[in-house]
Amino acid sequence: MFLLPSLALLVGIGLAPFFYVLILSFHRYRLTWSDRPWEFVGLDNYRYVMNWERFWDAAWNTIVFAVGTTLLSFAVGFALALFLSQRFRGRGILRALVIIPLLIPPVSVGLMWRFILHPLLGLVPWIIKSVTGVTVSFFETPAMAMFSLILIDAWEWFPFMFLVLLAGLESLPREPYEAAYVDGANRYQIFRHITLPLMRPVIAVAVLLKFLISLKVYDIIYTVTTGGPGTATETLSYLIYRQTFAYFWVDRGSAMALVYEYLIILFAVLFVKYALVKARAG
Amino acid sequence: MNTKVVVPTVVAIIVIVAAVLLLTRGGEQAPTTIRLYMEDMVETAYLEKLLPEFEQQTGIKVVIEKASYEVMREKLISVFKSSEGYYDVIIVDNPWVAEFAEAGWLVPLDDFLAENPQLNVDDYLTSLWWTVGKYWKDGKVYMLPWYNYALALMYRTDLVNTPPRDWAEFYSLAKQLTDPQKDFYGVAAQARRGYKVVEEGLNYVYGFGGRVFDASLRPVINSSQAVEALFLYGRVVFETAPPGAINWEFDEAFQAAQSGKAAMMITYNWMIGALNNPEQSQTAGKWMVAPVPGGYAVLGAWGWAIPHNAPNKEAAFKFLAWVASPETEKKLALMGHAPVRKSTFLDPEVNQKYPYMKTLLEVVDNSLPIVPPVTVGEQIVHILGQYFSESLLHVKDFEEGKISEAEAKALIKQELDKAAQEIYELMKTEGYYEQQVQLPPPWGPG
Repeated sequence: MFLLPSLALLVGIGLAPFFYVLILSFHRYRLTWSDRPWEFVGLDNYRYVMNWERFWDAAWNTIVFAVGTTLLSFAVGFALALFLSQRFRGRGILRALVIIPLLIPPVSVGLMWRFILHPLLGLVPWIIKSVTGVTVSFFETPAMAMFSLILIDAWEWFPFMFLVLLAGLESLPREPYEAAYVDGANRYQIFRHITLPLMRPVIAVAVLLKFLISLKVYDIIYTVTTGGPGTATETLSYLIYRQTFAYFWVDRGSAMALVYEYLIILFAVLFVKYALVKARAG
Repeated sequence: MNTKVVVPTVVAIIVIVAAVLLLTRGGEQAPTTIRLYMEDMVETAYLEKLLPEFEQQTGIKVVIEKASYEVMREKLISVFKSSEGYYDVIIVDNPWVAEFAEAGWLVPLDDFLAENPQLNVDDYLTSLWWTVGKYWKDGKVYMLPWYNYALALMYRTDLVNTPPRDWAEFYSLAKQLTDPQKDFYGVAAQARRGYKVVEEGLNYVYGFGGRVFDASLRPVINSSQAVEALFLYGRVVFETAPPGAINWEFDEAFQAAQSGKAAMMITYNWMIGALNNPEQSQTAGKWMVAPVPGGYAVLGAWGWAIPHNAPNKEAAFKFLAWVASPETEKKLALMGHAPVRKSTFLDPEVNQKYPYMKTLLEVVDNSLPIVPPVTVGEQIVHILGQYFSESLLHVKDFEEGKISEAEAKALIKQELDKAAQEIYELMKTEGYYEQQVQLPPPWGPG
């Protein structure tokens, strides 16, 4: 009985829009149609999406992006967490400084980096040029543009990884370390055989969360490359956004959003099943 | 105190206070207020300076809500779809007008124009009038031109003696001026996917004699002229523009030009003002404007419109009568506004302040709208944007020696074939090929 209000809220907020999108995806409807009724078209929208090369290109781009930024932000975040979990003076200030990128709105991050990486006026190309004499253009080729986006996104998100992993490190039990120390294990051995196994569940959660967040990337793509050059950096959420809110084709957009959602759920389930369960067991 | 006294007292106080509030509000009569929705642009700032004049004349208060271009379309649709309107006057970009008009979201302005002959629609430049003015399908007027953004060539007078007249000449001049060792380039290009690459690349296509549509609305963007044009455009971007220009927006290109890193730029004709303004430009005083090489320029334009659900239509019409009048336009033009009326372009006072006004008239007169007024204008621009961008990548491969010139052109042709095919299917689903349609000038035969 006491659950009813919250259940109603859950249905209202979570499930109602989902079913709306589901129903919409079986119809033909545009936002510009004022009084034309929805026309039932069965699986037409899905057929279109499944056969649309560009959708699968975008799906591939999304995965490349998500894997790249997850690995990079994990590597940087974990290294920093290990470093800043040690005791030394100024640790508090450094920890606070590391968080800063996470506090900047993604749109600002995108715009900021677009100018930092500007080949003529940007700071990074200028430094590279004065050291090596080579002019680097960060968005010129498809591969380079994707790499730059991963770099920007990882910059924004490594503090997230850092926070989660630091919290994990701080909550580790002290006893195994003391025992290892007494046994004369070196730093690498302690890391390899104590820290890493103990941290595995935390790492799995952090990586899963970041990966799922990255699959939904939109703001950085929008502000930095708008999916270009060509369609090299077009991700699924950007493609769906264009269909739905720039072209007002909400029917096709809904079908795409649902396919996309199933893909994400699939990833999450696979991940939980293999990585997380394995991490727990190990 | 007992409750028998307290409750009636409290109720009485509430009733009295409410009555007093209601009465005084009614007696004061708040001034009529209209809401405008506009892009956050220098043009909007000029208008704001002039608003007190309108507010004094009519007693109508004007509130402007400013937004960035990217969010305007989404915001407008949410307002159009709501049962209660919010904005009284809006500005609409020309690729959207047919779509909005056919959805029934804009108020036809024909009666209003008949009542206000002083607005003299014949005074609008023809190219602009067909872009945002009269809608060819029903012959009604849904928007009044506000300002134009026809593309033009900006060049440094200290480096370029006579502006190039065709694209081949433009390319060789740009190449000559480029010196990467000194960080100096011929052209500050903006080839970013989306609107930018179309606004720039389509000038090349027009200059080579190519078009997006023929007079019966069939896509012809896969013509050999367009292939040649985009190939040359790619060479300009990769050989004479700063590295990275393939991802540049207006901001980046403008920064490169104003900071003295480029000799030429293809941009909106009225940017000549900003390039020569010492507050915005380190190279102020060195810039001049000319029509784009090849003659025909890409034209975009904003127009004034009234949403179907405007809460205060009467005041909105009053505002429209004021803002679209030749007198107001002249005052705005003297501040730097990009005119839409012949009389303003030719006005002696305006010409005295801006000696290049006649060149700008030539630019806008010889311009062809970025898309015809069809209901899928926005999609067409983005289809072109995508395939233009893909085409440039093939030129990049040519520049790096990976493919030959002939191979690059064949690949560009394939991209443009895809663009034409997508546009064709889009137009077909919109019903444009079910009957014989004929575009009005400037697209079709006069």
